[in-house]
Amino acid sequence: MKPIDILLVEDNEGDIVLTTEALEEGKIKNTISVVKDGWEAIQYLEKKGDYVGATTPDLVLLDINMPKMNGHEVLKKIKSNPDTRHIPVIMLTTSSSEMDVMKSYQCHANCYITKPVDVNDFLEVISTIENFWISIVQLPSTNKNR
Amino acid sequence: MWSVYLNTFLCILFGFVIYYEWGPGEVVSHYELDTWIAVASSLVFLCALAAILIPKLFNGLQATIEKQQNLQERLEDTNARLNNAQHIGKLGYWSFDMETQELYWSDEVYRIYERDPETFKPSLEAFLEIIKPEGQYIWEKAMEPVMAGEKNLNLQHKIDLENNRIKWIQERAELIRDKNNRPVRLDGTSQDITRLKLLNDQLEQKATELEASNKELEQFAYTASHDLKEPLRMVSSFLERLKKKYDGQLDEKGHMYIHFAVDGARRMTKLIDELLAYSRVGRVTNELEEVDLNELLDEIIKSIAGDSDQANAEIIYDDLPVIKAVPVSMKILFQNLISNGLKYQKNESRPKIAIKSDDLDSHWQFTVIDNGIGIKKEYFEQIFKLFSRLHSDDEYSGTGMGLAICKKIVNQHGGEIWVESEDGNGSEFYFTISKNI
Repeated sequence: MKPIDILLVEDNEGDIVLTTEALEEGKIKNTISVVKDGWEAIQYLEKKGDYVGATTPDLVLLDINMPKMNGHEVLKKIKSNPDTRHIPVIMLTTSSSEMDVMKSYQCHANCYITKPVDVNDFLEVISTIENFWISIVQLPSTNKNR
Repeated sequence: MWSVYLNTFLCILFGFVIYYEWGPGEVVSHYELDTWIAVASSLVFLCALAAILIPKLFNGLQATIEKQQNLQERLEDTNARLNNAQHIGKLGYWSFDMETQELYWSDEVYRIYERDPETFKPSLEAFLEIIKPEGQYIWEKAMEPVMAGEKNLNLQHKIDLENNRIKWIQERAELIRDKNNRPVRLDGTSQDITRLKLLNDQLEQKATELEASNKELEQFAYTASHDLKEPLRMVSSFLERLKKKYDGQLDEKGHMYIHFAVDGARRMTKLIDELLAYSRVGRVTNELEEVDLNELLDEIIKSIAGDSDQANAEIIYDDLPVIKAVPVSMKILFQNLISNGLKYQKNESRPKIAIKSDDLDSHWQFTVIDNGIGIKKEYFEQIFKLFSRLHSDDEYSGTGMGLAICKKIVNQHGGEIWVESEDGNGSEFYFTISKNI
């Protein structure tokens, strides 16, 4: 199986560490790129600025509460751009607000997950994400150099 | 009386008979003197009669005049009083004749509209001119159901006055019909409600502000809880990671430190959760539903029975009513009171809880009775305050928010909550829920 590219859009350093550690400990080989705000995420996906040579990720893990541009706006941008709208976006956030959930699905988020408070549950969730989205589902094969 | 008239008439008749029989023209006879006597006596009699009758007539006339004057005065007095009443009440009277299309205004209406009775002639056109620009439209719209006999006129409108002043006026009127049910007249009142309107507007504005501020507060509480939990999650998450990954390198003390830190973070999280729950108790009127308390309690007891610690508890309740309330709030309320009853128990005893209800006309009253450790009298009020606790965490764990949440719920349902208890001998929690919130 070829390695999977995951883009983690997250401003909380702690969650970055926990998520990358959990993904690294997983069975599947993957590369994780991290950006810390919405604006940077868009730069990355559109391969602008510092990210000219970036590859199109196979999966995006997207937080909602972020500086500069929040997760909802990033989601909207990803899903309205023909070059990026096929990428599965997983909302991974502390918010359990009904409004956030609804808004995300209305903007075509592929799934919405509330970060569990307990660390072991959190790690469990990450490994479930990995298992489902990387091992079980079939993702479109993208031309990485597009 | 009639005899007098008759007598006079006869005297005059005799006088004339004698006069014509033997009067001038004839030889003056010995009767001549008699004739003059008869005439004179008749005259005297007539004078006497006049003297008697004229004052009588005059008296009658005077009485009539006085009576009329009296009536006039009373009428004027009543009018003045009515006018005064209209003035005091700032409530003018008007009437509109359907046939002649004439509009009558009382003095107070002139005052309210600030028009001069000497120069201003009220008419429907003049009135519509005053309340323009939208005057005609609102008037016709308001009059439709009045003319249809569906309801009385009740219209609020404003008028522009000099010096950029405005006045709000309330018009109320009733359609008067004749015997054939034909509308003949509109009887109405005009009232200056500018002050009332102003106060009302201020009140409405305050209510809007209050609502906004409440919303802001709710949002604040929600955001604060959310943002407070985030760093806590980090604390406990990495402590857990530390424990897991560096287990071998930590001694007993290291584990103890981590335990306290994790426990602190856990308690803090619970506090924040309950603070969030407390802030969410609100906006009752939107979510009122019929709640069958028997079903609710059944549900609560089932969920408690699943908890192994409470498996031996005995919870009984009367036939409870179906009440109008916010279902979620009722669940929290009963759940908190019952779980308190189960929690605050002596070690070895079997918890017993009884729930009763009483119908107090305007309210329902509920009692939750337990056989627990009881509460000292001096704490009866304190226990309902936010974060108020009577025991340390290792005696009985808790956040000190449960009863504060109960109190907020009860208050929002138009009721009161209080406790009666004896230290060591169980507690009785009473609360009321209004039947019309």
